[in-house]
Parts: sequence; C-alpha cells; structure tokens
Amino acid sequence: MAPTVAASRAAWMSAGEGTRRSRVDDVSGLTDDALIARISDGDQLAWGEITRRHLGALVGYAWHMLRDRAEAEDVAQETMVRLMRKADTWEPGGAKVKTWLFRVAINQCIDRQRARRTTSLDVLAEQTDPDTGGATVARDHALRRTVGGAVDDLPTRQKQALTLVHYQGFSQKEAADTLDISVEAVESLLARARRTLKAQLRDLAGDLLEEW
Amino acid sequence: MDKTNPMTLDAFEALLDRCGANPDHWPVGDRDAADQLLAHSADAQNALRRAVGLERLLDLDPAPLPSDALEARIATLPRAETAHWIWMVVARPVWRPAVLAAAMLGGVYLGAAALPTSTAYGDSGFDLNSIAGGGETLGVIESLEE
Repeated sequence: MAPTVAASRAAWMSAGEGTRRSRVDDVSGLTDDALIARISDGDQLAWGEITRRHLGALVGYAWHMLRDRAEAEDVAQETMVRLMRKADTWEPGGAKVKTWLFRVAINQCIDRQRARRTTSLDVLAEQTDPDTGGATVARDHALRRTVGGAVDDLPTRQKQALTLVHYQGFSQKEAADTLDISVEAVESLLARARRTLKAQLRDLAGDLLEEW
Repeated sequence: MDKTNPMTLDAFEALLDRCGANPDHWPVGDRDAADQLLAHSADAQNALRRAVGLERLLDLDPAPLPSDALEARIATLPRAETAHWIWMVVARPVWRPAVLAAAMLGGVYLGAAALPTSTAYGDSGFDLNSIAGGGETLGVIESLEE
C-alpha cells in the first residue's frame, strides 16, 4: 500500500532526533549543485547547508578586501540573495557554486573600493580587535595592524589572489577560475605579493619573520 | 627537477614565492628536487623558515566570523525572497495594464450591482393597482361613479 501524506507526516513527527539528524546529514553530504536544486524547490535545510559552507568565506574575503565588517556582511548578504534568485535557473555541471559566489563578491568589493579608495587602519584595528589590555595583547594588536596594513597596501589583483589562496584556502586552480585568469598568472600575482610582503614585514616585524 | 637537474636556491625561493611554504601546494614534479636541496642547503632551510614565518604573520590578520545578525538574516532569506518574488511579479510593468483593466471592470461590476433594476420591484413590473391605493380604493371610486 502506498504511504499517504498523513502517514508520512505522522512518521516524521514521531521519528526520533536521530532520524531527523540523519536527514540533516543527508543534506550535508550533497554537492553544491544538488543543494541548489533543492533550494529552488524551497528546501530550507539545503539553504542552511549552502549558507554554512560559504557564508563565512564570503564575509572573510570581503572583509580582507574592504576592511569594514558592516560592508563585508552587506557584500556577503547581497551575494547570497543573488544565489537564491539564481537557484531556479542554475545549470548543474557548469561553473562551480563557490567560483560563482566569489565572482559576485569580488565584483561587489571592486565597486565598493571604487566608491572609497582608502580605509583608515584605525578603523581596521577597532573592528577586528575589541579586546585591549596587557602588553601581549597590545603587541599582537600592533602586529595585526602592521600585517593588515601591508596586505592592504598590495595592488588589488595581488590582494585578491593572496586572500583567496591564503585566507580562503583556494587552490591555485580555483583562484584562477574565480579570477578568470591562468594558473600561471595566479602564481605570478602570489609571488609578487609574497615578495612585497616579505620586504615590508622584514623592516616592520623582521624578528618574527625569522623567529619561526 | 630531479638528481640530474638539481634545484638551485633561486629556483627554490621562486617556488616558495609562487606556491607558499606548504609542500603539499608545490608541483609534484618539484618536490623531490626541493627536498634534496633542503637536505644540504642551510640557505634553502632559511628561505623555507622565512616563508613559514610570512604565512604565520599573515595568520595574525584573520577575518571576523559572520555576526549572529547576518546569519539570522540569511536564514530568513527564503521567506523574504518569496515575498519579494510575489511582489516583483505583481508589480512588473507588464502587468500594470491588466491590473488597471481588472480594477476598472471590478468598478463597473460593483457600480452595476448597486443600481436599481426592474427585478427590484418584482417580475410583473409596476403595479398601478397598488400605487393607486389598492383594490379597495378602486372599489370606492367605482361605487361613486354609479
């Protein structure tokens, strides 16, 4: 006998926590493409899972590019809104969801950077390290400002590549796809960024650069 | 690179600049040559140490996590987007003439429904008999004429 909707609902309601968790786990095992297909059908669990996978990275990328938490969260939210609107017409097997998301975020960051070319490092310090007090904390605070300032001073393209690869854990191939350039071009950007940072930080934090 | 084509210090430093300090990120073909260089070159070991130091310095500048408020907003996006989608469909310019026409038809219908019609007074139309006072009045008039 085919199960009725009421019987299925009753079984779901009477199921234990373990059963419900296993359904969540099922979602967590799906590919991004499969999640998008479910999202277009209104699946809240799939939406929660795709958010869990990408929201933090989007905020992180945007924050490193903009150095403003509120703006970074705006970028991440707008990117997720666009993904939701795209879900109905998403073509599985095409661009990776991760690549698509970061392209949207990158373009938004560029637009915002054009709107305001400079950001005060004082703002950076206030927004990233509310905890102050103690010599160690003050030293870390100063180091963070130094490192943040050096990264911030990199040309935009180098900063994009470094942020994707170092802070977001992209492979060079993923970064190349996202930035729409070759792997060799990504490696060149990374090499120039690392050389610049080493030169700058050797002066400012040379002891630490040699310490490890 | 291999034993027949050993890696130079310059090439190793270039590899570190391109691919970072994690050997897992180095091209597979360069790993053995880099290992051989590291085994006997103090300069190469120092270069690797500086590369690791740079990555640890960069780690001192982590991004903040998404705020609870952002996560809450993202969690409610599906519902917000459904409402947005409905509004966008209804408010699209292509629908505006149809909405206007529907409003006009509705107005005409309601107006017509409120007007008195012949059926409001019965199917037989106006009853002159009742308007004149009914059958009793007519009887009085007839008796006077007699």
